[in-house]
Amino acid sequence: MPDDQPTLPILLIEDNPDIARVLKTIMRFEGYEVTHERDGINGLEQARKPGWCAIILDLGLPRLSGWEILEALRADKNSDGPPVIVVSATAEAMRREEALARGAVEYLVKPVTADVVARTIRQHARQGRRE
Amino acid sequence: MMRDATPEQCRQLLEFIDQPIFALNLEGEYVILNAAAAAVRGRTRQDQLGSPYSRFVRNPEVADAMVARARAGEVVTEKIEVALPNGQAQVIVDRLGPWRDDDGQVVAIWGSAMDASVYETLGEVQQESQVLRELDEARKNLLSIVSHELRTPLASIQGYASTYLLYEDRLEPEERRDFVRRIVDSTLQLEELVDNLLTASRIEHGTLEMSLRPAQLSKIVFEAIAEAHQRWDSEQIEFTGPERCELVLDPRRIRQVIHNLLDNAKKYGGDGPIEVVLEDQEQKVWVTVRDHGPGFAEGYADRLFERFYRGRSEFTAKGTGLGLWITRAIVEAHGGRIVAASPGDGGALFTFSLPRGLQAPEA
Repeated sequence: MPDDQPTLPILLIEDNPDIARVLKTIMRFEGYEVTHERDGINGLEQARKPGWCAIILDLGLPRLSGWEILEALRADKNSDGPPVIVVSATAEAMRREEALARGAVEYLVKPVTADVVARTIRQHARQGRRE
Repeated sequence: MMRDATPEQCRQLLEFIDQPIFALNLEGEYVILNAAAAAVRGRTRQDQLGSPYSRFVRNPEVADAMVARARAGEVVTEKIEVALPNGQAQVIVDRLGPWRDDDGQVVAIWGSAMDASVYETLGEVQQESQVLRELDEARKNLLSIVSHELRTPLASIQGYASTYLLYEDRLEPEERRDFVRRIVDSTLQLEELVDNLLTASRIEHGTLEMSLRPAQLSKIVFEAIAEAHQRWDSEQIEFTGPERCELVLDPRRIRQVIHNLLDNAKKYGGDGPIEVVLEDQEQKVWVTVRDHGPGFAEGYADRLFERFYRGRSEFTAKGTGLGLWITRAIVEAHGGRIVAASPGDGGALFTFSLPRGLQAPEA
């Protein structure tokens, strides 16, 4: 189980306290060390720091939307940036395409079950710390 | 074909049009008037032909300025006060514009007139149709807004429940209890949303029924505050008012009103303090809910209560846009009133009154 391994840093950018709590619990049990930001400005500032094995991003955020964060990260031209997993309340297929086009590796639609979140993170997150 | 029309046919066409039409030369003198235009000034055609546009007018400076602007190629619409032969004045709206020759040179001035009240009615009709278009747009959006609003508590229920199932044996007992409590809170949130939608539908169909009986308003307020504190996981609401305040009302509906106002205060005021004040006066009881968010712009106080209106905040526009509309309908169904204000020192304030004179129906 991941419990025995060293914890990996993961960034969560989500403003809904319930969703954040659920995601933090899942990530903790999957062996990650979670840093949580509630708004887009602080979220982007954190996202630009090196070392994340993945970023979990909500789209409807106060101050700066998740779309703008995706755009800003892509504009940084850091091809080696961490994988970004979008968790959104919008189910439309177009949104999904758009998010993937802006550099997200996966687009999950809320409501989403814990096992899908856990599996997606396991699938995409980097297994080691990259500085 | 019009381009082959004789001058006589053109004259007949002008006469046929029941809208006042006239033409001025570049000096601003009448050269053409149809019958309707002559009637507007209350003079004969002969009296007016050759006379200046500003002659039978009480605000000649406006008329002269219009002529100058039309001569320069502009289309102008202004209110003109016509001096009628009986000494009275009539306000009409005149429109002047350039009459150009084939080379584009302004050679004369076209004019048309409209009764000011008709002009204003037309403006109102245009405004009304704009409002109807917006309402229609909002109706179309309602479905997607409602599904988004349903999705939020659903996501929370599914998240807590599936996390509980997946990691049941690793969650602390306190955590497990808390997860279940959050699931219950989210189902309450769903219930309130459905309740608001049903109430909206009843208001729309005129079938909103009140079940009036004597009740403790202060108790309803306390309970709504306690419930909000539990839901938000914060103690940010401060209450001022008497411990007892009995009057005749529909307890379930008034709970919905207070819930909607608190919810609104949280949505737009964030984590700042929220004040609830209950004032028991002889004829009426007043309840005020105040937040310390950014408030709203002057002139928006009435718009807030419109159906589907959703304010913007740094917490982004959320909700169905029905809450305050429902709130007002319920307050008014009790014979009360609700007003909104954005005081100078910030925040938004909602005050509603409930009259003391209501009678509970005989059991």
